[in-house]
Amino acid sequence: MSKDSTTTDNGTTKSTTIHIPSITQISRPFFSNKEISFLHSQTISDSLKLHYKSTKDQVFQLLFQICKSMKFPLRMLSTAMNYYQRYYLFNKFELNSNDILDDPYLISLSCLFLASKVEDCIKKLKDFQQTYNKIKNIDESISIDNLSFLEYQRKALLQIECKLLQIIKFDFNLGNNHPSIKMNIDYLLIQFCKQLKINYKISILSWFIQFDIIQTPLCLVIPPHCIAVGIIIVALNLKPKELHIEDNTDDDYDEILNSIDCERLNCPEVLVNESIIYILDYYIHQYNNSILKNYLPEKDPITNKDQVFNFMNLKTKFNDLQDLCYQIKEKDFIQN
Amino acid sequence: MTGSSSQFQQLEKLGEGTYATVYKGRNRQTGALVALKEINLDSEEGTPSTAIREISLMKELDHENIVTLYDVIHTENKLTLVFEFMDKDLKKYMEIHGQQGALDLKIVKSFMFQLLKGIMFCHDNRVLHRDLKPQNLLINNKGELKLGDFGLARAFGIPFNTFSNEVVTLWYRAPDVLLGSRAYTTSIDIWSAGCIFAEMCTGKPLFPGTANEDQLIKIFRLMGTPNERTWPGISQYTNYKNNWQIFVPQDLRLIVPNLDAMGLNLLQSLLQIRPEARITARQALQHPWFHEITYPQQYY
Repeated sequence: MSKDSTTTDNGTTKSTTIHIPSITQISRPFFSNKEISFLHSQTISDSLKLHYKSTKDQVFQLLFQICKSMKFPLRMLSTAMNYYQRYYLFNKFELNSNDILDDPYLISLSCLFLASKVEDCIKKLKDFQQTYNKIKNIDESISIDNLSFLEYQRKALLQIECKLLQIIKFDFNLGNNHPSIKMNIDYLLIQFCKQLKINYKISILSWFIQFDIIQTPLCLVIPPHCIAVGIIIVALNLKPKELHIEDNTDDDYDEILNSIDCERLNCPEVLVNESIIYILDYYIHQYNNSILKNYLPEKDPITNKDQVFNFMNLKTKFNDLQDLCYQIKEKDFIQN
Repeated sequence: MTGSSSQFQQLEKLGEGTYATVYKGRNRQTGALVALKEINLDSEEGTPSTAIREISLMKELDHENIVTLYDVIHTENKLTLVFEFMDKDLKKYMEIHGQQGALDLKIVKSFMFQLLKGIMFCHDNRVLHRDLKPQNLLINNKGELKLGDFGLARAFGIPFNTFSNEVVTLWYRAPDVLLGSRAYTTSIDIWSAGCIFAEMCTGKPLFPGTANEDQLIKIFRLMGTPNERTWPGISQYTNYKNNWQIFVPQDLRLIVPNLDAMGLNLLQSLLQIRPEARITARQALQHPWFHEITYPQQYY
């Protein structure tokens, strides 16, 4: 992080201390899709791309179990998921490495540990280790390199934490300039739903969608408040007739949709649109693996078609938006 | 940022805090003075959460009455926070410039105004400082006062289940916190500001308690022992006792004799024993005692 411009020590000063080259790094809370593709091409080899995806799913499942077992709030899980995905923008994804520091599961545990400090849900590292080892069925009684297993594991976790701090650049608010609110999507979603007077059915549907979306790299591209609005717009457009929940009130969703003023919610429309397109693409390709699938009827009760067609139809509807996005972006680019 | 601290020349030690040591430093390239707060990384728990809290809050609290955090330098076993340099803290300032610690009322007014402006900015940004005391208020040679040490500060934007009740240094700790309240708000910083106000006027801490109970008794001795009639709901607090010695409220004039009537009125509003009755930082800044600063033309 850097608030004031600080110059780097270029080695020209006569210092009595041992010279270590220093690098000034500025926080980058968000990246373009192109940048992410480039960074991933450096860290994840083509042959491991599928493994990266499946490992990530398993890792996040594990983090979810730990959070549930240790009674942590959802915001901590989403922060840890953000850190994990950020980590692999700058570090090689290894599958068969013998180095404990390359273990994606241990890396994810360190992400969760750091997230607990950032989100003010502090617990002892030992508690994290014990829960993790219990869920993963790891024998803690062995010793490695003359260290007890827990000690050995702790050292590795703290080393990973150091790496994470350098990746996050101490920008714990991730681009958000409001120091008190870490601006997690779940918090924002609730606030926006309340403000827009959205009923329980759509609110809970949005909540399920965000549960899927926090696991994607979208959080590295779009600020959380714009994703939250994007989720609400998708949920309102889905107009679910049946949802596996009690509430079945149907408000006039079009009216609410028309009342959404992105500017008033401080969300640039271009970014909201980009998140909408991403969410729809995600469900078109991943619906069968999604959490949302468990809560929607298999077939749409009106069209009697698979739910995925609803997302495809919406995508067609929003494609115009996508065109608009590009036009605006191009215009901005030319003007800048 | 990350890097080595060799871009700063480390000068004399300025102080030692609970989790860090502060040195004076000089930027080797620009010659500018800075304060270097060195935090050792805990071998058990890694980066202290206090450091994370301080960095994440201070990075965004950009105000003339809050110390600026310029950078974070990360080396293998320590973190160094680079702050703007301030000459001394209020405690030392009172020792050097005060008459047995007591400051001139004009200076007290200027410092109180700046303190309340800093507090208001924190509260407007939903941050509680939670540890206001003379040692954490920094003064430079231009007479500017800035809030520092946000290691215990906390955001209150998101409702948290509980707040730990082991926070504010005892002498400046609000009675509701001493009674065991775990749902306190901005009013705890206001109480501390009141205690600091009195201390600047007299040179002596207002309530120098030695332990939780003693601290409460010292407050009651001056403000009167509260009861259900004067403070509805007080008996619900965990540390409430029904056999406290009963004191009647004292006249603040006797304790702070050099303060004018208007100043006493402000002090009284800050030191309300019931948290809900305490004035806010915004209201306090509008108090007529500050009109000399806010409407200077009327005083010439």
